[in-house]
Amino acid sequence: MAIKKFNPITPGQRFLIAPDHSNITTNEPEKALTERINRKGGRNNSGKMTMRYIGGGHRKLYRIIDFKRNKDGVPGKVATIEYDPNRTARIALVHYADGEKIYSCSNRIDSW
Amino acid sequence: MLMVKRYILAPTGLTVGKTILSGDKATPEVGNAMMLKDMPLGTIVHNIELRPGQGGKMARSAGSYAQLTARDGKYAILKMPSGETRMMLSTCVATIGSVSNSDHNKESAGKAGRNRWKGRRPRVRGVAMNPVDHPMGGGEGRASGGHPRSRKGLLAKGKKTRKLKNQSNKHIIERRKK
Repeated sequence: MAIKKFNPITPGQRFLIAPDHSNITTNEPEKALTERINRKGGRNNSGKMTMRYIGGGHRKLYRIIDFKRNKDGVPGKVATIEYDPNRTARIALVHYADGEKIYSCSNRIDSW
Repeated sequence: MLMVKRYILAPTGLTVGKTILSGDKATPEVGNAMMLKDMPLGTIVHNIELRPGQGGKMARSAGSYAQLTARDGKYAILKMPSGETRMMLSTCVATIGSVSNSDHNKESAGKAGRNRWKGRRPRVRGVAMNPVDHPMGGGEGRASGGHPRSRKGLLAKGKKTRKLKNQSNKHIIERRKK
């Protein structure tokens, strides 16, 4: 099971069901793949409140995720499974074997 | 040797040391990314592109997945996490497997402060407001607010809110289940 229940030793723990981080392998994100993220607090570009009930919270570091998966034909090895405060899913750090090929244009752009 | 590191969404069952591949040489195994046209029917996928080359947009939250059910010309037909059956261009890339942390919906914050740590502020109910603030507001005592709706008056909870003439209607074969 990937969740754990707590014994009611404090009122806040009585109803707490938290993820157990048993399949998470490291606590430190890869520094080059992180960015600063600013809290908006539900305000738009002119500073007006456009979304209520948003604000505050712990400071987060954005993890740059590869959603395109366009490193075609290059095998990658999973190095870590990590927690990401910006999403509900876990993320995996992948090490790709050859560094040079990242600069060659992938054929995915030609297929437009 | 020069290494290139990237983060990807971790699918269920992806463990440290496994090798993943993307592109047309990839096989339909967990973590591999490939075009919908290269996958066998019945494949479970996540992180699906809406337009080819755009990057994955659909089925990215914890535990979600879509299933490739059929093919029709240049389109692949998928059953989406919402229950909607939809046509996608078969040159769109998706990743095999379902997204990790499928027990996320079983979590409970336990206390209000834990939600505040996540940046969520307390929410006032519509029926607790005055008529000037919300369509469900007002009344004597604990009056019901009628059918659930938003502050702007849009119906919610079981009523259709989707635009009738939507551009993407032609790609939707069956509407989502409630």
